[in-house]
Amino acid sequence: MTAQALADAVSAVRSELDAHYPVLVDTTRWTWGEDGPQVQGGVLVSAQAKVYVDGLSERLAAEVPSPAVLADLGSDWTLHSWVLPLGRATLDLHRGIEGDDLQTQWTPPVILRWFARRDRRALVQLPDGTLGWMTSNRLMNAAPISDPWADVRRAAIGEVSDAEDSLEALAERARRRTGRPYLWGGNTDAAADCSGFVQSLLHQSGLLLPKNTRDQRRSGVRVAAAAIEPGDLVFVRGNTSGLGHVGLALPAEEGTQVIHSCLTRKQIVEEPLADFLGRYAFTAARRVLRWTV
Amino acid sequence: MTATPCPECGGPVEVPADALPGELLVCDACGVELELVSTDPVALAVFEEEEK
Repeated sequence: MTAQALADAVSAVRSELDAHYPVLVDTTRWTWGEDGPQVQGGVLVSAQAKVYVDGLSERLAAEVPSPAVLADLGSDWTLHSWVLPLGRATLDLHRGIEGDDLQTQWTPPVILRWFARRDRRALVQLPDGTLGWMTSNRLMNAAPISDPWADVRRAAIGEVSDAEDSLEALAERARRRTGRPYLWGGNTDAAADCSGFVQSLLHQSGLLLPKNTRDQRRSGVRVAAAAIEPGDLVFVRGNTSGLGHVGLALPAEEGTQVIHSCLTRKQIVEEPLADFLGRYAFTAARRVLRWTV
Repeated sequence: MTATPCPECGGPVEVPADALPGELLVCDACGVELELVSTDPVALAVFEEEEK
């Protein structure tokens, strides 16, 4: 094994990362030490670190250390500052720096983590952990005395916490949005995708879910399909597309319903749970909040 | 509840008795998401999907 082999492998893995993670911020420096590959610095999220470890291990046929993860929630690293968006207009965060693929939205007020700026675009992180690019001219420095996200109540694996409002209030808020348009990456009262819809609803009940369905599916505790109750998250996938989808179970006189922002119908719709599970393939149900009726 | 080896890491994955085919479970050892391919016999496969 040589240093050149390591350099070639790192270069190849960086190309792979660029293809998969357009928001890549990579501060790693790899060197060949007495005990093999050594790493300094880190990458933004754990998924990037995994690509590094898997890609280099395969190419070098050796065990490689994982780079530090700089931005995952709970990280001790301080390679960031806090910024405050000006105005009350909705923030649009995009996956890529070009701003052509909406990642998510957020309605101020909020304090953001700021990581990088390039060509009047800023790479920032929301309190739910989502990273994305936005225009930098709306941001001003904020210097909080303590962590401004310390009081954010996030969903966690294996935990069910008390809701701050009732199931009835949740249902009323959810149903008020019936018929509003589906928007890929959307997360506002006006328009949302499936994960943004449930995230915004439960955030108003006091719990912040992750933004995407994969992470939402790991939140809270498992509920069997036959035991789904109003307030639970119901995860499915398209029978033909395989695309992950999520809806929220709601109470109704005629039996449990599911409300969801539907890509194919292009709007927020409500339907009986049995119909929902009949049209899609069930993948999981999770309970994240304990409700009062 | 049945314990089945994770196809990714070999760690034990607990499959609830009321789990349905197609249901997704998570390996506590390695964190990978697994699809319950069949219940009799119990079979798991690493799951990957397009997200939204």
